[in-house]
Amino acid sequence: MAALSLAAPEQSPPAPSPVVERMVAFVQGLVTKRLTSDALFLPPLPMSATQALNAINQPNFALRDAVPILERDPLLAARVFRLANSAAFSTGERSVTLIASVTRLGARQLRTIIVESATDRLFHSRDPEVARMCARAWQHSAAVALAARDLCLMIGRDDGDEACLSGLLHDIGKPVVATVLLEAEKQVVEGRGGTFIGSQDWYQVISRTHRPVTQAIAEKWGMPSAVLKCIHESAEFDPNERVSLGNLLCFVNALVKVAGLATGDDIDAARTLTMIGHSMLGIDRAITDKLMSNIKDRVSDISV
Amino acid sequence: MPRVMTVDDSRAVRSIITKQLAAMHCEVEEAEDGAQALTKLQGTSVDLILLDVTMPVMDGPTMLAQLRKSGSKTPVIMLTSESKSSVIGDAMRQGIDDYILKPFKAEELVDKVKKSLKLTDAPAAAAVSSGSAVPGSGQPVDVLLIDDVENVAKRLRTLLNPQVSMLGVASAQAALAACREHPFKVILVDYEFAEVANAQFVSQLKLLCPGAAIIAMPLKPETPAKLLAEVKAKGFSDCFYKPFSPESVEDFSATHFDRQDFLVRKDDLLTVSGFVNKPERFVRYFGRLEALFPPALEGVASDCFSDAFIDLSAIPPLGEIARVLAAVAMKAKALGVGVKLIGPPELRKVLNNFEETKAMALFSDLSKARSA
Repeated sequence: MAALSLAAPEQSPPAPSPVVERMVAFVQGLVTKRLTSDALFLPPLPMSATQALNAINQPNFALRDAVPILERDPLLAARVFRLANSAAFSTGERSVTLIASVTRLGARQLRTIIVESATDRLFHSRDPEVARMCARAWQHSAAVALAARDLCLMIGRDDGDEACLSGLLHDIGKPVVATVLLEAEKQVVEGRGGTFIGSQDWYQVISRTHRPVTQAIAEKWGMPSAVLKCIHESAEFDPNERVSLGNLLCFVNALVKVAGLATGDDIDAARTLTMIGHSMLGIDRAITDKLMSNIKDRVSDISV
Repeated sequence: MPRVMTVDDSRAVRSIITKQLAAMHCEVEEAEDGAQALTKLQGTSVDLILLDVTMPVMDGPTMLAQLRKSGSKTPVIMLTSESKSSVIGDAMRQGIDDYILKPFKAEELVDKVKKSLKLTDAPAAAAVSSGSAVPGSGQPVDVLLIDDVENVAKRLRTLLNPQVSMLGVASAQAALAACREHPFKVILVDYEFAEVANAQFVSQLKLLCPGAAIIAMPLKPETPAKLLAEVKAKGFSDCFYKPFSPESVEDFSATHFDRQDFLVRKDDLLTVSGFVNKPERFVRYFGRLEALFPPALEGVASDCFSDAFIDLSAIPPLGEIARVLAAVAMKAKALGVGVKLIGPPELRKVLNNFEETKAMALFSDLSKARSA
């Protein structure tokens, strides 16, 4: 996970410039066109992750079924070992086999770690500008996943796992849009060199255009319907379903941004959403203060 | 009496708000729309405005803009069925204190109005002091015991001091529900119960009860040090071994629920409380006194009293007190504070046994000590 020094500036960005508005319209148009014509490259879920998730979703799934699949993906297997032997799951004795490790974690935690691993791989880029954005976005997504799961726990909801997965995936389209934007930018400045919009504007364009791509990737990855619905509904509060998972994710997303783990979004807008969210979901500020008090440390210390 | 204005085109909403605020001893002014509210505010002032967004004649945001333009800084809470962030964001920029979404619960209205008016609640109810905690009461409870065998909670209850309140649960889910409901001082977790004896569960408990000591309950092993290290790696702070004995429960109680005020300072008078426990706990009693005296003497020095009067009337005159007083004498000397003891004449004999204490002045009562 990226170091916290990469966290986005906490001050509110300046009002969007006309260039940003034009770029938003351009990127939205481009993304829609490519999505509808199936011409946008949506990163696939790694084969091992797809197979493992398919296996977990089978009604007669046994944890041992996941072992041969994990054995073919050393990165994922290493992650499973690491978590199974972490303080969180340790039973005092080191787990040295994959079967012991997956048994220790259980199916629900295994599903989360598979998605976490796939998502983490996506938030990397060789391009330094995209890499910086990815580092921020990954850190933000991990924080939203942690906080969403913990908020469910604190208010007595039983859909913490779905909230966690939705948090991990809610910005998954950003690296793809960042690449699209970078392509467009290179075409515009070709021959002249340099960039034509600043970093802050760049982040804003991505924040405002990634949602259809995020949704498309989550669908492509075969996420559960509750997670897809949650991601789809998390852009704005729905007053008709006040305590929906989508509203909860929208609220936690804003809380995390206000807590300083933003990705270049408008912090004032996030503050507005937190004010609405407390009333929308009927959550006391004391709970969210507790939830956010050490979120930066937690996200830098531990894996989801 | 605080004055609150409710601005809403719905008579029913105004009526509900007026009723709830009247119960809070607020005087309530009503207005049907923004224009009427601004007119009324020309002739009167209020401490808080509860403002709807969509109203005929003049809507909430327009009224808010005009109010702020006139220089008014009266706190405003938006109370509306509008939840679009663009609309509420504009209102935030104009300056609103808070937001309540309709339909709303009375508690939310009361809480936010109180906060905005800076009204304080009556002191919270005292902690449950009887043995059985009342589930769902929200009151602080001393011990939460998590064990899937019911007898464990029963056994501990019989051994614990009745003044220590306790709640026993048999599942992780019930434990988390209890933690959402009550603050606990100590949470005891069955270490043989896999559902709860793991670091993830401990971190969840810590999230819900940040101040609680979370203690594992394993069977006593052959190598306690190794087990303690393992237990700590999972986030537990300590071990409390099963099966319980009266002695181990008493130790546990003494560590976590010592409600005795060993030493009380009032200005220059330090009063040592009597000993109320089994004789084998004397050592711990004097140990606590030894730890409490230095900060108490520093308090006396810090408040610029030249002498500290130490009332030892209630303590048993044992040799250990001389050791404590020897440390007191050295600390007082270092601080430049004189010490005058109040206690029974037999204490003289004890004091004479030690070089550091034999010169300490002893009086039979406080008035004699003060007039000396």
